[in-house]
Amino acid sequence: MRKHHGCAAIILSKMTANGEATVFQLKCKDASMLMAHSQDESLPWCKRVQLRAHLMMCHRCRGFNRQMQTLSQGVRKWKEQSD
Amino acid sequence: MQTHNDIWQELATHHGYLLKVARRLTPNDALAQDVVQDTLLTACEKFNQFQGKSSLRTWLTTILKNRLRDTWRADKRWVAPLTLGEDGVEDFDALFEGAGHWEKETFVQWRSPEQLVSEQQFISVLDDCMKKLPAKTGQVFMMSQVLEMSTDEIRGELDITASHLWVLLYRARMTLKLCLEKNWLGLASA
Repeated sequence: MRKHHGCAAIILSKMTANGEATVFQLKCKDASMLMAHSQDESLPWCKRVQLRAHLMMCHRCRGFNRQMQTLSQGVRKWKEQSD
Repeated sequence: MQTHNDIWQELATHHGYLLKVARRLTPNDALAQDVVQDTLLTACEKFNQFQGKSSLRTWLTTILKNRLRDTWRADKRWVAPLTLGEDGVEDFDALFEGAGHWEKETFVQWRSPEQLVSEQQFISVLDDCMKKLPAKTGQVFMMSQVLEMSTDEIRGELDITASHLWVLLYRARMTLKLCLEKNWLGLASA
């Protein structure tokens, strides 16, 4: 049996006996790590999809996402300021 | 045609910023001062190579990064790797309730990003909070966000795995969020 990695592995492992794929539900804590990470690197596509689905349903995580962006912008502003 | 003196004066306007960064990435102030002096001297020598493709500050930050890497290599003790537990045991579980969702009572929503970034108070409190980050977390955050070092470059200096690095950066951001919320009530939306 061939071993699949990354996004393919997550999808395939969630397929039920009927062949229906179940979407892996993110918890806010997992989502918070993805959102922090996405400030530095693009997420792999399956993580992006999971995160987007979670953000549609969770207003606090939408707030946290904005907070992570605000932090990054704040650091950029901090760098620009002379001292 | 800029004289040597004009160039030096222009570079000197960045001295305060460079020193602020260097102080957070060297073990003592004397070393920080030396590194910044070296950076400005190098920049002066190589000024004809600065083509204005990036801002002068960005160019100087790159030179600073290279001078800092020389000091880190000269004394590996200061950038010696810590195990994950040594830099504080914070794992932020208290912010999440049993089912893994944000704890309603402690979650703070902020005012709009555009407003916040334009306010000096935000940058001031952020500056304080960055200073207060625990040692290794703070180093990694500065290397990544201020010196703009890549994952590979940081791993090269600190000899840590990529996932260790991501954990440190996650901790840095969460710690900064909590620090900002604790130290500035004006951060929260109504």
